[in-house]
Amino acid sequence: MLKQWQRLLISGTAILIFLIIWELAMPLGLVKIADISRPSLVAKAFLELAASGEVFQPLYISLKGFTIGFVIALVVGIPLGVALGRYRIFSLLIDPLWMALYTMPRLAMMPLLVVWFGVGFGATIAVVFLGAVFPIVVNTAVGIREVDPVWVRAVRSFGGSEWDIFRKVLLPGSVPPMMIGIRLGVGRGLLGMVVSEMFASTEGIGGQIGLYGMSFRTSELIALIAVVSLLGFVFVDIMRWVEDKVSKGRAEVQW
Amino acid sequence: MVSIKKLYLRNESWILGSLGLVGALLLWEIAARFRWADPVLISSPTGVALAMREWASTGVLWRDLGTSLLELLFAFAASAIVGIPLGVIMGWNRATEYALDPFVWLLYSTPIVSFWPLFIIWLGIGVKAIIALAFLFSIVQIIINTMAGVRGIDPVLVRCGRSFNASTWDLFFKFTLPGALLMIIAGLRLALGRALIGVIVGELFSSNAGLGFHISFYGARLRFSDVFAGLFVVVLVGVGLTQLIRFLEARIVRWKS
Repeated sequence: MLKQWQRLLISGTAILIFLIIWELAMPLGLVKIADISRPSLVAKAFLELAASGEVFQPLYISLKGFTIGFVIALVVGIPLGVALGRYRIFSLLIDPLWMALYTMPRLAMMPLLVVWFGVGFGATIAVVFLGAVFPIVVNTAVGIREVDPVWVRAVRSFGGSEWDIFRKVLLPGSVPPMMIGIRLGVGRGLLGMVVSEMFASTEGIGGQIGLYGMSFRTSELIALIAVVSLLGFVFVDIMRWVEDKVSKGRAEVQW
Repeated sequence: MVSIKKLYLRNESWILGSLGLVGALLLWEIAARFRWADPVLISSPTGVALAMREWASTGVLWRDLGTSLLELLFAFAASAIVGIPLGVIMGWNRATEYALDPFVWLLYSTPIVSFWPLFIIWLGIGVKAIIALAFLFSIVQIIINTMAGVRGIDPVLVRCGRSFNASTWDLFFKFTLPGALLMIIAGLRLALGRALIGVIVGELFSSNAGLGFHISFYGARLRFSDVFAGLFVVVLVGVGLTQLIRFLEARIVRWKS
């Protein structure tokens, strides 16, 4: 069994080797690919972008759109998931329609959303919402269904109302799967945010990526991609941490 | 009466499902007819059906569908060929896992579309960049599931094999691979969906054929009936492929037990 410090050592060495090869690849002529820049140039580009406000300003705009879309997804998704999990007829009624939408890459709706909600901010909110709401609803419904019916009957036999059932049994019981849905939703929402900004606006961090891509400035481009990657990494990591707190070893339900 | 009720109960999910679907379509049609919303913006089921017919009759539908499916196939096959062995090695050997782990997890949590401009610079606008995007979308899921599958093998089984003098080779092909198969296939199913996202998004951004191209082309011209027709085909492709893999999954589960 390898220990924690050995793990860090191996991971760190691997990253270091990757960076060194990357740094030397262009000057040594190891790659034929158009332009892969170099880590040192990327770092320099990042510092310049950060200094001129081209990182944090767009990031702020992006995160604003993401947050609004994601909060709407939570507000709509959790009650919908509860209803789907609780009322069988309702879930049977919308099941085919729902599955069709769930399997479909919702990002394909981009051209519609741009017209319906306006280029830029509106479309971003809509895409983030559409990306995030599906995993949230599905996993919440799964959580509700998984709650042992005996507990529901127990509340009933002690004279509890439907509200009591929700508040005291269903909601607490379905939190762990719900958290999985929320984590998957964060990933999908971030993806939607970047796609929307790249597709139809010059705003936000995605728009910035599109702009530097079009002008073939690879160093700046990679610096911005690294920022987005790091953002995703931090978000998912936070969600995973929260999830670990509330749940232990549950299967996740994706599409 | 009793038999009708029985008949209903037996087919309840089916009946209610189609009822919901028909109801939604009806509502959509009515909304367009009575101008609850601008028909130009929301189109209508009949409009979509007409657009669908035109698309199919000119034969462009088959070209678009073929292009997208081919891109999907290439990306998915490549990611499986690279991803499964990589996942197996990472699951089998701790040191390799620790070495590659940071890269895999970074890719897993990155919104992968952000690599798109880079692919354009490297590979040029066109099919190659689209396949590369779909490949990247798909391979991460395959690696992660394969690794988890190999890791999840009961160590008792492995020790049992060892005590009967099984070689590493035997252990690998008789215990590890069959044991991990279900996880790997689940990973392939999820990866196929992700590859489809990659193909469609790549085509939306820039291409001259394919379902995503159809959607963005008509979207820019505000011909939303054609856009919905495109979305409809995308849904069919997604559902069809998922059913296909689920079918394979079910076959293998039966074979396993």
